Amino acid sequence: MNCRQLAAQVDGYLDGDLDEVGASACRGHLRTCAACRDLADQQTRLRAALAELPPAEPPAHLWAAIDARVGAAEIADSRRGALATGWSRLVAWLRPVAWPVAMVGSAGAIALAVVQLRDAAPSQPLALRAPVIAPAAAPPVRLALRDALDERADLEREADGRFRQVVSELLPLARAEVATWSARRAQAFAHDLERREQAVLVASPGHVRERAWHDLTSYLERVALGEQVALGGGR
Amino acid sequence: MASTAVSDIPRPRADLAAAAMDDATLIAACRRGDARAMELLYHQYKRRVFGLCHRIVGPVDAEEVAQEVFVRVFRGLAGFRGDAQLGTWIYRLAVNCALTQAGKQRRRQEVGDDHLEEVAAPPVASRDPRLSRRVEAAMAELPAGYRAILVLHDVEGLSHEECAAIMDCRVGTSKSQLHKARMRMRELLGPALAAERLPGGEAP
Repeated sequence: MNCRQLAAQVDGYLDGDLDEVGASACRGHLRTCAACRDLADQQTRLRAALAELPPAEPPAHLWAAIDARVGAAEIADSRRGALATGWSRLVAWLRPVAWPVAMVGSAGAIALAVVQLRDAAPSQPLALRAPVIAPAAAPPVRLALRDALDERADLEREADGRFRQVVSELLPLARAEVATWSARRAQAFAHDLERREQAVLVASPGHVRERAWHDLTSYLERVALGEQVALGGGR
Repeated sequence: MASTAVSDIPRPRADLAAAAMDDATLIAACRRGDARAMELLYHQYKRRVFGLCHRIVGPVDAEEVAQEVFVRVFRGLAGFRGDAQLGTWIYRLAVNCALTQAGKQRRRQEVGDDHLEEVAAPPVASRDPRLSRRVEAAMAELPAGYRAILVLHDVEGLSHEECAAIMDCRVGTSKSQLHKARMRMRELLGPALAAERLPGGEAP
């Protein structure tokens, strides 16, 4: 087992999900690798810290607020009920009447219902006028989309982190090289560097930023390489 | 709100032994509108629901979201078919409400201070006296989806099967999301976790 494999399995190992052979391989690697021991230590520590987080205590008045909202919703139900009963009574009353007359009657009833609604509506809290949403789970597509978006944000951040590390490694090398340059060239370097750093900062995440990162790192690489070549006596 | 609170009006009262009531009895009583049963159900789940909301949407919006969850629970119990555990169903409502709110918060933030986000310093850089506070701060940095799975599994101690049922995903997805969430937490907490080594520093 190598460090990369351990990093992928450390969760399963600490959760006790691995079989005996897999767990033994993890233990074997952890015995010989201090860096991975650190990783496992930190994960254990994180789990303990999460499990020990103090519970968030709901405020004392929460029940009263819920109680009031449920009550208001029931009152809204009762108004809807009255409206429905009035409507069906009207329809029953109109049933024996000739068809065209019923049409006219219905139009009247609709007008009446609208008036009733308009009268009833203002006394209800605004939130309750929206239809009561059935407590269904978010459709799988939306959850999958959310997963995908989270994952993309994750990858982008990971990429940013890696590029940042490369830059932090290259920058001292490039600066060491620039120290041997003339003042005018050094100034040009400072200008070029700043322009490229700005490009990264303003780029939106994704391809555009990645291209800006590449531009910055390859520039630093070329500058730093000057030093390598000089050290090797190639210039 | 001028409306009469639920407990103020006469409601049917079943003969309930408050402590010894299984889910089915509790649900049936709540469906009938039994005030005591409703309050009992609230007290049974208030800490879990509020804790989940608090950790996903933060302290400012937690109360509003928790209210919304319980209103949906009581209004939706009639349609609860019992094909999931009551707890799982309530958790699912809570996660959905909280993630919806978190999405609104993100949009608000994007509209409000889009350039601020880029230069914001890592919030856990300052050394809080207590690890738990640093952990809370790091959690606030996670994408809401990661936060949800981390709270469900590592804070609330639910199994991956339960998490998958609540998040409406496969067990494998729940595991991989949790792995990523933990790795991100480790990155965010880096020095804080390393500084406080386990006694002895031995691998578990």
